[in-house]
Amino acid sequence: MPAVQGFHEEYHGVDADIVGIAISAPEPEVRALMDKQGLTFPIAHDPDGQLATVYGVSGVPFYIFIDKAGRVAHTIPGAPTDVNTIRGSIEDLKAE
Amino acid sequence: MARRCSVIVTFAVAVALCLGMVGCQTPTNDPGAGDAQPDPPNLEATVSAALRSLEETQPASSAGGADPASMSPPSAASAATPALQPTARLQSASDGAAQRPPAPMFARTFMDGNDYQLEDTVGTPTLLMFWAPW
Repeated sequence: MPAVQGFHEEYHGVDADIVGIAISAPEPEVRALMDKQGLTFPIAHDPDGQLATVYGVSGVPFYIFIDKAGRVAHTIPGAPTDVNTIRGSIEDLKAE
Repeated sequence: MARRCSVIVTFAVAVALCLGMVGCQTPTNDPGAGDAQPDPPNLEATVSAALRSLEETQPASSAGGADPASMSPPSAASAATPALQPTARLQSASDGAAQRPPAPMFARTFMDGNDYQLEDTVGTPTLLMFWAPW
């Protein structure tokens, strides 16, 4: 999560948008973690998992990379072994 | 005098016969037993051909209508169908950008209280991260 926050601070409003969607948890717990980790990127609360279902999310974390045309370009289910994997996907979309 | 009368009568009979022939031919043509009957079959053939063409086009159009219908619900509300599509398509995303599936758009009020539309990010690469605090 801190790495994603880092991407938000690095790309926000310039080259890429970082959007979080918190699922399967009451709002107070989500806010508590946001405060604890200092998350400032936009986060939606999806307690009923509606968005997760629409996107075919099978578990968390689940990363979905959307290209400049609004198309799903790539997904990473589960925690990536290397943060650079996420960075690489973002950079690929930036270069398109 | 008698000859004149016979000539006149003969001429009249000949004229009557000619008129009769013409009269007989004309009515037979008018009913058009030969012409009129082929026409209905032609109309029937035309109508049946038109119906066939409609039958052929209707399945295609209905099939074409089903696809958009199955595409729009995903972004709208129904969740079951789109849930499977992104994952399946993403595996082939490397084949080309043109084959990528459109991301289901949504609009929500986020935790910070601001209204957010994913559509606003079009033009910028976007990372959607689903997560849970546990």
